[in-house]
This record gives sequence, C-alpha cells and structure tokens, in this order.
Amino acid sequence: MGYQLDPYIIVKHLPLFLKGVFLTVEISFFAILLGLAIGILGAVARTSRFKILHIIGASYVEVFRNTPLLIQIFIIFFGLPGLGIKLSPYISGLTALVLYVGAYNTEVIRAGLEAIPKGQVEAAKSLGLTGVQTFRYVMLPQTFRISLPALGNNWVALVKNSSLVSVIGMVELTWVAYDLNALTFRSFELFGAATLFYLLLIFILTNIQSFVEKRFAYRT
Amino acid sequence: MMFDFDVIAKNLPYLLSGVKFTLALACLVIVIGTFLGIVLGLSKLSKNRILRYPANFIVELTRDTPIIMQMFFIFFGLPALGIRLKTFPSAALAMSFFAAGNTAEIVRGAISSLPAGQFDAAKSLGMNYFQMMIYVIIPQALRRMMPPMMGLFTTLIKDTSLAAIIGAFELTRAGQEVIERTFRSLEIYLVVAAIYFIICYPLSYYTRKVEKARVTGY
Amino acid sequence: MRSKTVAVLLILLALMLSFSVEVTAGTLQDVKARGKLVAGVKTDFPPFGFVDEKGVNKGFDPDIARALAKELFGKEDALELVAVTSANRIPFLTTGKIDIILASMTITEERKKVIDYSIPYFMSGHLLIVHKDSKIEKVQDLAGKKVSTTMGSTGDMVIGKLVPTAERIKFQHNSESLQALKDRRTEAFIQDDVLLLDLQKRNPELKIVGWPPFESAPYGLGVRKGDKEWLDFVDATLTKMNKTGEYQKLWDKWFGENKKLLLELK
Repeated sequence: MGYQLDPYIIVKHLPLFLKGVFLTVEISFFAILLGLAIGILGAVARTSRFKILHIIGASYVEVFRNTPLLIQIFIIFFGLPGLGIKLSPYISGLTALVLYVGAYNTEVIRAGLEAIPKGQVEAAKSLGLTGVQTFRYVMLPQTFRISLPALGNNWVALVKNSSLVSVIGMVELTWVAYDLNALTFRSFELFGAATLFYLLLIFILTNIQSFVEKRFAYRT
Repeated sequence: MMFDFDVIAKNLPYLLSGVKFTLALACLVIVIGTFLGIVLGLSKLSKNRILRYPANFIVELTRDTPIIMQMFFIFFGLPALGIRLKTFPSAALAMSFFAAGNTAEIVRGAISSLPAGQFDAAKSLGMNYFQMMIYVIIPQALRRMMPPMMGLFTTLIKDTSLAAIIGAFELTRAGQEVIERTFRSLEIYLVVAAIYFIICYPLSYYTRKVEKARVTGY
Repeated sequence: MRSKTVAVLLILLALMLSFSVEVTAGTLQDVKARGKLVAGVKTDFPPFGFVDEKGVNKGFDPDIARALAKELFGKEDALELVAVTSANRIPFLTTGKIDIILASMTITEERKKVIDYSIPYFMSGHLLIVHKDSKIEKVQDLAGKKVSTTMGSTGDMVIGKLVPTAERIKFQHNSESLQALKDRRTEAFIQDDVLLLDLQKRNPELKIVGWPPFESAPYGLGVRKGDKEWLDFVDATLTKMNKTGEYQKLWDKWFGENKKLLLELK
C-alpha cells in the first residue's frame, strides 16, 4: 500500500485552519505594536543620561537576545505560576513575543536614534523645544524612517516566531496543523498547507513593508 | 513555593549532557548551512537563469516559513515521498536549509555592497570568474559578512531548542525530561535559559567587538 | 519573487496528487538485518513509560520491548528506545522511525484505520484528577469548565464526546497537562487510570474522582498496517509471555499495588 495524497483533508478542516491563521495574525499584530513600544522605551533607556537605565536596558536586551524564545515562553507560562504569577496562554504568548521582539527592536531603534545628525537636536533646542518635544517631533519620526527596514525584518521574524506559542496550547496555525496531524496523520498535506499559509502571510507582510518603506524610509 | 535549589544541583549533570547535542547540532548546521548558503548566494547573483531561479525559490521558501514548520514538514511530511529521516537528521536538515537561506541573503548583500571598481579591476587584470571570486571578491565579502553571520550563528544555537519539539535529545529536551519527573518547571527552565545564555552571550559580545573593529579597521 | 515561489509550490503539490509511494511491509526482516529493535515508548506516562535520573527508560512498556528484543536476538539490549508522545507516536510509526509502538496506546477504531494492533495487553479506563478542594465528582460535572488533556490521547477524545461544552486545553506532554491543573488553569485533567494513580501519589494535593474508570478500552502494541509477519511475531511473543508467567510478573512489578483499582484484562 502507498501513501495516497488527500488534499481534501484541508478543505474539510478549513474553518479550523482559518481560525488558526486568524489567531496568528491577531497575536502577531498586537505583538508588533507592543513590541514597538517596548523597543522605543528600551532605546531611550540605553541612550539616556542615567547609568542605571543603561544597565537595565542592556541587561534586558542581552538576556532576551541570548536565550531561546521557546524557553522564554515555557518560563512565562509554566514557570511563573511558581512565583504566584499566572497568565493565560494568550497573555503568556503575547508577553513572550513582545519581550523577545522588543529586545531586538531596542537595538534597531537605538541605532536609528544614534544615526540622527546632532545638528537636528541642536536646532530643535535653539528653537526652544523641550526634551520631550524634541524627541516626539524631531527624533522619533526620523528614527522610525531610518530603522524601518530593520524593523520590518523583526516583524517578519515575529510572525514566524508566533508558531512557538503553540506549545502552550494556543490554537494558532501551527497548533492546528499539529493537532489535526495527531488526529488524521496526514502530515504531508497538513504541514504543507500550514507552510503555504505562512508563506502567504509573510508575502502580504513584506509587501506592506515595501509599500511603507517606499513612502517613508530614508535613503542614506 | 520554595525555590528548590536541590533539584537543580541533582539534575545539572543530566542537563549538561544535553548541551553536547545542542553544540553538535549547531556546529553541523553552521557548517552545512554556510557552505550551502554561499553556493545559493552566488547563484542568486548569477546571470544564469538556471542557477538563479531555483536559488531564489529555495531562499524565499526557507526564509519565509517558521523553522518549526520546516522541521515538522521534513520529519513528518517527507516520508510520504519516501524520504525517511530520524529526529536529529531532520532537525539538522531543516535548520541547515534555514541557515543556508539566510546566509545566501547575507552573501548577496555583502557582495553587492562591494564597489564595482573591484570587479572591473579584476577583469581588467585578465582574471576569469573563479580567480576573481577567490582572490578579490570573497576575501572582502567575508569581512562584511562576519557580523551578520555571527548573529546568525547565535540564532542557530538558540533555535536548536526547537529540535526538542520533534523529540531530538538536546538541552531543552533534557530539561523537559527532568520536569516530567520532578514537576519543577520554574527552576529547571531558568537553569536551561542560563546555560543557553552562557553559551550565546560570549558570541554576541565577540560579534560587537568584531563590528567595532571593522568600522575602525580600514 | 514570492509569488513565483508560491506558484511553483502549488504546481509541485498538484503534481503530487497522483503520487503514491510504496511502504515496505517487511519489518521483521528489517529488524533482524539491523540487529536491533527500535521501539517508541513514552517518557511522560509512569508506570508505563518514564525516564529515571540517569536518563534510562523505565516502565512496563520498555520492559516488554526488552522482552521482544530478547526474543529476537537473545539479548535485551539489542534495543533502541525512542521517546514518543500520544500526539506523535503514530506518525513516528508510519514514517518508519520506529518499528513498533509500545506507548500505552488504547485500541480505537479510528487508529485501526491507520495501523494494526497486537492482541490487547492491558485494560484501562479513564479517570479525572482534580484538586482536593474541588467539587467535581464525575465527568458530567465538567460541563462548561476547563479541562486539561494531552494531544492525541483517548482522554481528549472522550471529553469531546461526553462533555462537548467543556473547554479543552491541550498540551503535548502529560506533565504539562498536569502542571496546568496544578496551577489551577484548568479544573481537571483527564487521562488513563493507571497514569493518574501514579501522578496522584506524587502530588498529594490532588485527588482522583470519576470512579469507576469509564470509557474503558484495552491497550495494544502498534505496528504498520499490513505487516502481517511482524504482527504475528509480536502476538506470538505476547502469548508466550502470558503462558510462561513473565507477563504476570511484569504486571505485578509495575501495577501490583493498584491491583484492586485497575480493571481486569479478559
């Protein structure tokens, strides 16, 4: 007997697949937004005048960039309850993804901040803008434009990394494929289909990224 | 709940026995992936369509899908085509493809960033393609490739943890086995994270030094 | 660039629609030629399959695997034990990574479509494990509540069948499902009786409810479909173990203390 391909298994379970895709998109979306916020905070900490912020920022970045995301997810979901902190699978997954991408975003945004010509800041000061105003209206927009390509790469990585929250029982795309596989054993079709879905998502995401880059990014 | 140091002490040797496999997998993948990646990267730059199209295909495929999905597909899905691999080889193959795809992009970026003058000068000296590559282009490209490649190496070491999901024995799987016995998730996963950190941090640190040296180097 | 990639993939997929590959059904020869048996066992299911501090596989299933190896080659250690979970044991078998499933696997009609079973070698029913202060007493009490299950287990399917309004949170390993219960993320964990009895002993803050074991079904060893020669050999070995009393010795070794609570294998 041979392995007969059965593509209709995908059609039969399409609603569940789409539910998984939707959750992947949803958690990635929120993680991108929150991760951006963390990245900005972290970059500010690392470029601040206060040494203590430097150390906190650097520690955060080094810890989260030098340990696997999978372990971070396990610690947040399975480990924290031991300290009395119990987060739902969704919040645990989201937190892990946000902290992970936030560390990478911090470095990218920091590089962006440091790349802004000093003249900009001086000009802003001579115009009477406060520190916060300078940051909001002068530095941040330029930082964003400079960092956009690298940030975009982080977002693509984030969507791919979202596949790992399946290990804490979140019903996203990878989970759906794995669970259906445990039920129907049609691995080639299921994991092939899931792969195609991810390709499609990344395809859409990179197109959005190119569009935004064309409009906003600086050509240095 | 008390933090149980005892369970860490008792199980540390077992966890460290997993590190052997983590490093073995990472090194294997780095070697295969780099070699394959250079071939793919050069193919992408080639004027020859027969080389360029498949190279583009493979690079896009491996860079735009999660590694865990590539592992699942190679491990569970390929047998439908008659290709049967065990856990460790499946993880190694999936990660090698991922490494190759990313290396190809790094190679392409590095070579593209070289001044056109280098290529012209080599040609005017009468070098053929291979001589140009070996003596002029690749040495310079390697210098530019170093920082992103080292970042890739760190990522690959961390990604060996994913092999645990298909059952390969390495550090993360060792940790899971200990937890299956002792139920002390917090302590064990923290120790596992610490071990990964000890392995990866020196690499990151060294990467930054290389980057600084390169900037001030010439 | 990417659209081309997707297009090529779809074309490849279409080409494969008529693809069919032969699966070799000659495990007995393969195993003999290889010189060792590769068996899939659990690491998260004491006393059927677990791992001790030195990383050695222990349990009822590994012991049967050792008996099979002895029958094949005359020595117990012509054996490689591979860790599997409820979710991946059948894919491991059908993709040729193991020769036989010895992983506390219940015989179900669904699974029979994909693999062949040996004669039954253990009888098991389902129970629930809950916190000592829980009000849950039987499976119907789980309506609308959160339950931990393990992917691919019969417990998961049973909840789906008996209490469809229960919310199942699924994990890959039994230890993770149990952890979710201990952290009070779920109100109960459903699994086979013999596993829960062992887990409860090591987690005294939990208790077992839902007696007597329900939705019972026997366990069987799993082999690839159509592999008659191999299956006959496995069945013959099991029958022999029964006759010589070796089976009973192993049973007493691993389940002796729970003798009164477990179901009878007919």
